[in-house]
Amino acid sequence: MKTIHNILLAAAAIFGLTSCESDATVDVPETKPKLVVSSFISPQDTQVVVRVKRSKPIFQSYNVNTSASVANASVSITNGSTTMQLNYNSTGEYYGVSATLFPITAGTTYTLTVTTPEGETATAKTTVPGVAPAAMNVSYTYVVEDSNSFFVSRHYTITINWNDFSGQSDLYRVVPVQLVKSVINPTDTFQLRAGEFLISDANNDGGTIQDKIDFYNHIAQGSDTIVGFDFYLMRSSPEYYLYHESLLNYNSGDPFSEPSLIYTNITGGLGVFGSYQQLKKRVFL
Amino acid sequence: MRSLFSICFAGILLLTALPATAQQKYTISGYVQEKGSQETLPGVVIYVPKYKAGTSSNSYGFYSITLPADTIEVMVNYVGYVPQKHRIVLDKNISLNFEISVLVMKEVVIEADKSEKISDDVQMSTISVPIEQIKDIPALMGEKDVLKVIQLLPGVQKGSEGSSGIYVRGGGPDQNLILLDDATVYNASHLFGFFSLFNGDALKSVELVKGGFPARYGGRLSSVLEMRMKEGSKDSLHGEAGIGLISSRFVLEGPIIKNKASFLVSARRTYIDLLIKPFLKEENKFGYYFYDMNAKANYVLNDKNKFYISGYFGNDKAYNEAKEANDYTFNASLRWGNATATARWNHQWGNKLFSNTSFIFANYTMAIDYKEKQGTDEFKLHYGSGIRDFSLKQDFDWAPNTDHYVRMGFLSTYHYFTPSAFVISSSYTPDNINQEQHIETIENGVYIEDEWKMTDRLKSNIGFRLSHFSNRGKNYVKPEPRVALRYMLKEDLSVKGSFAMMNQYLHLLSSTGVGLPTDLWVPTTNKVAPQQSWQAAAGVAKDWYEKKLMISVEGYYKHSTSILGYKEGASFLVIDDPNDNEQVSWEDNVTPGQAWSYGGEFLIQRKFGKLTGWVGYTLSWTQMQFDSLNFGEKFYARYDRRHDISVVAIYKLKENITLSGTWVYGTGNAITLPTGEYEATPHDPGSGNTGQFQPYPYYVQDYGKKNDFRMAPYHRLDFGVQFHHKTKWGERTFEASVYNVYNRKNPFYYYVGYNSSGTERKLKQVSLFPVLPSVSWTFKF
Repeated sequence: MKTIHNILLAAAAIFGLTSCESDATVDVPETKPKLVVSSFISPQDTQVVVRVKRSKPIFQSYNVNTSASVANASVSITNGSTTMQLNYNSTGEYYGVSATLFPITAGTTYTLTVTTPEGETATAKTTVPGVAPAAMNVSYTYVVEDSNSFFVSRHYTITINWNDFSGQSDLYRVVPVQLVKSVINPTDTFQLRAGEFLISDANNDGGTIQDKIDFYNHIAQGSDTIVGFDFYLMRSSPEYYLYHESLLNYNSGDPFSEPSLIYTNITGGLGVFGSYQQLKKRVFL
Repeated sequence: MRSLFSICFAGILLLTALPATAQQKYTISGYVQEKGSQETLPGVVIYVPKYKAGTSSNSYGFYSITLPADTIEVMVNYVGYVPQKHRIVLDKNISLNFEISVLVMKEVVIEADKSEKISDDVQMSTISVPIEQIKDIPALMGEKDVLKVIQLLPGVQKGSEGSSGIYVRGGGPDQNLILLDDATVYNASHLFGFFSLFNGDALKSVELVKGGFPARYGGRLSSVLEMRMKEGSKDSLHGEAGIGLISSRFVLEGPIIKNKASFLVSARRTYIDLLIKPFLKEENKFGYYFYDMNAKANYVLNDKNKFYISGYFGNDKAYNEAKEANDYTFNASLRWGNATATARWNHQWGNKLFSNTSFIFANYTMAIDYKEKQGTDEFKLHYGSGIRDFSLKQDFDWAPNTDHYVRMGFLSTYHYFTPSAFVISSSYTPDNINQEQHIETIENGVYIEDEWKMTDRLKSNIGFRLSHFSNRGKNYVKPEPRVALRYMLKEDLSVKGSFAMMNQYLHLLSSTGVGLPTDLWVPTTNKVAPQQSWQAAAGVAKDWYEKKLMISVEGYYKHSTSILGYKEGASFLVIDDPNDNEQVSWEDNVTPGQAWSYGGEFLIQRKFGKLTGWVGYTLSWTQMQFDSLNFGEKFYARYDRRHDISVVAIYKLKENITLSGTWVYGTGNAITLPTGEYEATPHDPGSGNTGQFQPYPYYVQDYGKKNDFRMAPYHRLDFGVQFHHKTKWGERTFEASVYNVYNRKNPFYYYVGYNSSGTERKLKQVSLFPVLPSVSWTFKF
């Protein structure tokens, strides 16, 4: 792609088609900082977690730290009959309420409302999907593609499948996480994301959903080793799915291609309020 | 399919069954030709006032008209030619060729009022531009360009600055059928879209149909741009040569056998590569050139049989060669080009039935080559793609009586696609690659249409086309009804309406949307359905004889389905990752969608006189929706253009001085602009959602809604002046022109930059062409 751009620009230059850069003559849209809300609720979680930050306008000067959490917001969640206020946890920088106080249940529609003393209001809705698939099958093979006294390269091919629910459209997200045993502290196992994929049951309603993950591991001999994988299968609400799909496809564009947009269902702000049902499977190598 | 065709044919026969009349009828038929060169002329009006009956010559100059036995006066009229009046005693079938002379400025035009009448024509949404006007309109770098002139017509928009791509009534550049002597031209651009293949030198006529398509056309959703090549003078040798800033060109035409056979050859080539060569270092040579060539020959066997053979051949090449001291050399090049060939046989079956049989070849190829060598080590890479067509086309024109004019025929095309051919040979590694994909498909279309004068005021063109496409056992058969109606309110004023359904079986995959040579044509498959559209249009047409003006106002509504969008982040260049074992099919990278276009167009056009040209205005809306784009929501197309104005004026100041100017204005493109930035947090089950860990966020931009921001409006004035000087050998023309006279900085694209102190971000723009003067010189004999 880059080469084509270069050729195009070179061709323009050869012909002396002098291009010129200047300030744009159009007015840019007047933009203020917006609340950025992210929350993913699930019956399998121990609490409801809501993170609130702010966006920073590009063309107007506002003093906004986009990484900083907004600590003075009022955050509430309702299932239509019960409304619960969430408390700010300054260590974790999130608003939360325990699942024992406010359980999340399948099929229920929840509404999230965030307000700030500055007068900002952001709201969103999500309906929790039905139960997660009862089981998933995981199988893997690996080959050592290269090995010497310093390094070893392994290529893992992991196949994963589960049965879809028929009669409705279902959306899934799968996140494999490596379980890595530390050399320094052999009793410690830490977790590392190993990609993700999104899949829908379109054209395969009620069938077996299957996907393959190629995973390459290139490590120094005698260093940390992968001892297994955790597979998280999320049966997702549309908001959850579209948001993660847009993050995966995100590109900021260039003069010859369109930028892709990040999904949001937050009225009055940015971010997402989504829900999922989760199935976890741990596999030791 | 055959039975359906038979039913239609029988229906038309019934429709056209001659009423039993006492009075004997006879037919006058023949060709209309230009006096001298004997170039056949299409669209010449042959009119018999006494019977208020008329016809016009077809694409090959043939006409036929049947009238009661009588002594009649026949008028022959054509824009830019001296009108003729013939007195004919019609007591038998007569074969008669009309020869008309080119109108010279000083001549007084008598009764030119019955020439081409826009109000009379049943066909709407059609514009023809005289070739002479194309040659008079000022152009970028002085390079005359048919497609750039087409962009000046209402209902037609250009894409970005300098681009020769055309967007007709909201449709993309892939939805235009560009025909050169019946052969499809798949990529009409030179120099990455800044110029088109056609400079008008070899052309006789250019006609754009943007709606209400007659049944004889099919295969694309948005427009048909039909160009016909000149045949070449049959009486004497003529030529033209020109030198411009970036290219030189010549045309040569003349008889092979006087009054029997003739030829025409035209060619041009850019020479910047030759000019800069001496200034380049031996170690690193780069350059760019394009050339094209048109050739045509014809042979008149007798009054009943004519043969034509014509072709186009053109290529673009950008290259870079390096040679270093350590015996290292490298060569890289990008080439693309079209080739077309058409062989035709015109035959007259009696005096009412005319047929044309064409064998057509069309080819488009693109190739990237890369070679690296050091000593005996060598690495070679070749990537190519293309499409090749072989077609058989059969058309019949049948004029049974003055109330009916029936056209029918078929077109059958074998498409041979090479979506990618990839070869790597290397002495560094034994893993040589030689992959080539091919797809073979068949596309058929069979049609019948009848131009039917229902009453003195009401005329219709009712047609039907059945299209068929076959790819690897998957067959699509789609009916395409076509209706056009014209009702005369007054002698010079009519209302018109039309409806057309279209199918498109070929899709263009474009990584960039700017018409680069890497854009790839692919067929409809079992996964990717044909694109489909229907369009309804209604309008008013008026001829204003005293002022020599033609005025048309039209409104249209077009709905297209199964159009292709590209999934976000999709790339169709296999070369991006040739070693990727997982071959991602292009079918997985496209997403079907819909488009809605509607609007109004106004055109006032003057084709002859001291002052010629037109004023066009378009008010339009184009929206799109794709399930996998913009979260399934509707959005305005990038080239949605609310207002579009073009003014074209050519003024013959004196016999030897021609002034010309164009001014265009268009609403800015709809683009997606970032307005904010923020951290987007994903759900990260691995790091726990219980709050102990902050999931790693993506740093993203807030674009608001898709295509919600308008670029600054585009406007530009061009001016040209031509000085003609007649000598006893011929005519010299010196032309000086200025592109973008008032140096408008039209934005080519925007980007986010910083202010001069680097503290605040600002929206910046890149503009391509400032005020650009150019000169050219032409000699004609």
